[in-house]
Amino acid sequence: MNRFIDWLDDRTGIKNIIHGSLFEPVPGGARWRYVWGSTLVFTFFLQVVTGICLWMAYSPSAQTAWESVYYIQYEMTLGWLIRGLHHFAAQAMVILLVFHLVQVVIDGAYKAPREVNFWLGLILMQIVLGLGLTGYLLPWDQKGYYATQVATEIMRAAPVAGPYIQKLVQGGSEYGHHTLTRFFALHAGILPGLLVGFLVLHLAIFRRHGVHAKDPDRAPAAPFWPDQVLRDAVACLAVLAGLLGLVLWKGSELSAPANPGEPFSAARPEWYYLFLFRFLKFEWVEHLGLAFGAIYLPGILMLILVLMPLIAKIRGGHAFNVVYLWLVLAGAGGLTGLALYEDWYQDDEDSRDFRAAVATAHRDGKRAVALAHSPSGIPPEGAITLLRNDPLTQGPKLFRNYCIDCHQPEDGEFEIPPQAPMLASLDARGPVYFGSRDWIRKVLTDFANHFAPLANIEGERAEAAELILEGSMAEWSSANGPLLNEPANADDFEALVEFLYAQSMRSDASPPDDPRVIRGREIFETGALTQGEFDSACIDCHAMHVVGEEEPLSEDMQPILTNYGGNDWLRAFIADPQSHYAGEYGNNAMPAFAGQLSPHDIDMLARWMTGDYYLPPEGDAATH
Amino acid sequence: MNSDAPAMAEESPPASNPPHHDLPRRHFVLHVLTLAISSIVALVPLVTGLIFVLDPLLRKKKSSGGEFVRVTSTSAIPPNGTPMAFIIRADKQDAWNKFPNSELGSVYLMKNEADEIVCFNARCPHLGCTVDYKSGKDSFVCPCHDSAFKLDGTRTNAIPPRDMDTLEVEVRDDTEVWVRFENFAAGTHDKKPV
Repeated sequence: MNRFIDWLDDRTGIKNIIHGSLFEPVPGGARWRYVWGSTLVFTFFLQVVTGICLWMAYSPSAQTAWESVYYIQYEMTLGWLIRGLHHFAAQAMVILLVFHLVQVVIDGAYKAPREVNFWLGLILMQIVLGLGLTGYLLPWDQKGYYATQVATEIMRAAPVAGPYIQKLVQGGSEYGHHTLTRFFALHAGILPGLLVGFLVLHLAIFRRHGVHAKDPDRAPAAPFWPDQVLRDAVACLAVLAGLLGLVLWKGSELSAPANPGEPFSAARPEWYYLFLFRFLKFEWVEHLGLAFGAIYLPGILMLILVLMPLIAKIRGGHAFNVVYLWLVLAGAGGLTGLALYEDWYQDDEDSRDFRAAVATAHRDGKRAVALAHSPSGIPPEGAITLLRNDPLTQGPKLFRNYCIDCHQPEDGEFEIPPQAPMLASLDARGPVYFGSRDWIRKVLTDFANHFAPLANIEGERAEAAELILEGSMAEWSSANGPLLNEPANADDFEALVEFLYAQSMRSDASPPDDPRVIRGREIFETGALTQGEFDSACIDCHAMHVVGEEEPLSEDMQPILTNYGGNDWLRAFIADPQSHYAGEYGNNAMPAFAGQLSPHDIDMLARWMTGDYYLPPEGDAATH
Repeated sequence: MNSDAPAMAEESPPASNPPHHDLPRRHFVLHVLTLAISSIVALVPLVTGLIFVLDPLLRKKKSSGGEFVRVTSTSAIPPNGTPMAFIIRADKQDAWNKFPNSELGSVYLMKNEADEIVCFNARCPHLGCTVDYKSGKDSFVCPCHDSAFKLDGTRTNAIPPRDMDTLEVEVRDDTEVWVRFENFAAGTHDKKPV
């Protein structure tokens, strides 16, 4: 071993290099305040290791970026840990950078002869911020997509070259495949390469001048090894433990796949850019223009930082520098605090909307992951189709846009009275009321109350509404409802309801050979109950063709009850209730939506209402 | 971070550096502690990363082959024993994507003397190229390294390590030809599914 080392040393001089770095004397002895530089080198090492791992699994294109990150996070061995470490270490680097900068400035370590190294440090800081910005987009999720778009729009505000820079960075005038390939090349190639280069210079010059001791007479000088190395190692261990804690506690989020057609009201930049975000929201800043707030002013603040070593030569210059740095940090901290307070604690409409948007974003993200995890998996067109074709995601949205004003839930606040029966609650995500067994019971026995909101309809539909409320079904219900409510007929009532419910073919409906369904069918056909008889049987007025049977029970009559409350019935009903359901002579007060909603929209609404969508099995939720 | 540096430092203390502590015990403990913590800090990311990179070896195999796939109808196979190539299509899981009805490989179907349908995977057992049917020579020849096989799949030279890989065939409803499609490791004497 010794001989090998001697051989190697003879060719490379490695002993001197190692001795030089390990036994570099630290004037005044080892101190905790010198650890920041080492923690930064350590986090960078961490980023290189985890980054190369992620690189091996990441695929930069608009159709594969989210998908491959999903695969890393939820399918690959320890993927959640690698991505989590990378995610949090990126943020830790920004914090450690600030600590390092503060320590250098208040200790005066930036002064001659270390000016050049100070400037190299500032360049390194810009590179790290650039890495954070480019990395944020790579998962191609809603969060990164919309936050990064703000950054590239700001680039556009730069004087003269702005629009060209934006187009170059984006790889075109719109976000797309080449935005990702370019951001990825920057994030994994160009910026880390620059970082390594500048870091080597930074460390070489640091070696040249040695540690800048705060007070060299405090203690006798001691070599770097082991006292200072131990302190550095302990600090790195603390950073690592903190990062692991964050990964286990919070994990790194993956919001829904980026979708330019889907607004994202929860968009915010990474937290360390929040101060700038909040600053740009001031009206007076806005008044001065985006370029002023986002480019000139930060540029001037940065320039003063660059000039610090020169300012320090003036009398009182160092004191100015220290005060200036604290003021900038206090300002940034204050703005960050203000932004956080407004988003998370303030009780006004904007803040509440933001929090609701964040909750929606979380929910959509989890849903997209659950669908990607489902047996049908991610189709070749990419994960963007998962939510687009998910009734549980699209149904409630369409319902809120098109249905809720008339079909008002009890828990909503509306200016006008309801004009149609309640179908679902305001934030309904699960089973809806429409077409449920309880709904059917109400229609049969309590028609007048159930459809009472129709009385609020005004205008040209008022007549139809009135005819419904006074129509033959209303009469039937008031005449035969009490009969169904007789205790002796309780089982018959349930059977009839089950038969009607079974027509929907919903997943929780009983099969056709269930005794209750068979009994219900008898009642539907004959109107004969255990005690008493309907004054007219259901088939006397309604068309009914039980699915899977050749012969209809009854036909050429409306309203049609074939597949009542099921997908086909609902799709046809929403598209055009008059022609499908009420017919030429029947009464219908609901407008046709075939003109307003696409067949896909109608399908989403119908399948949401019938519960025809994928639900993950209990406890299958992605664990990390 | 340089974990072997301390060891060297102990072996050859520098002559030209400030004197070490006078307390050898504290000195020793400090060295061990520093070395230990530095190693932990460096090894945690490295080992985690290594495990992540080894993912293909660690994950349970989700079998994509080995299931019967409908290939063609019996009438499409020449009655005179001439082999016909067919493409195998089935759902394919590739990392995060599920590709419905995608091309998994190709097979030769032919009738043997007993009028049974025989199926060969078209992948050469030598190194995985696709074997051609040479109608003039009545044999299968691989364009890569000249592996050659008779029409019954037995090799006629020593280049391939084994005969062509037969696949199970089922005729369903009298007309549908189903094949249990599988790929086998190339270059080995035994027929091992991959």
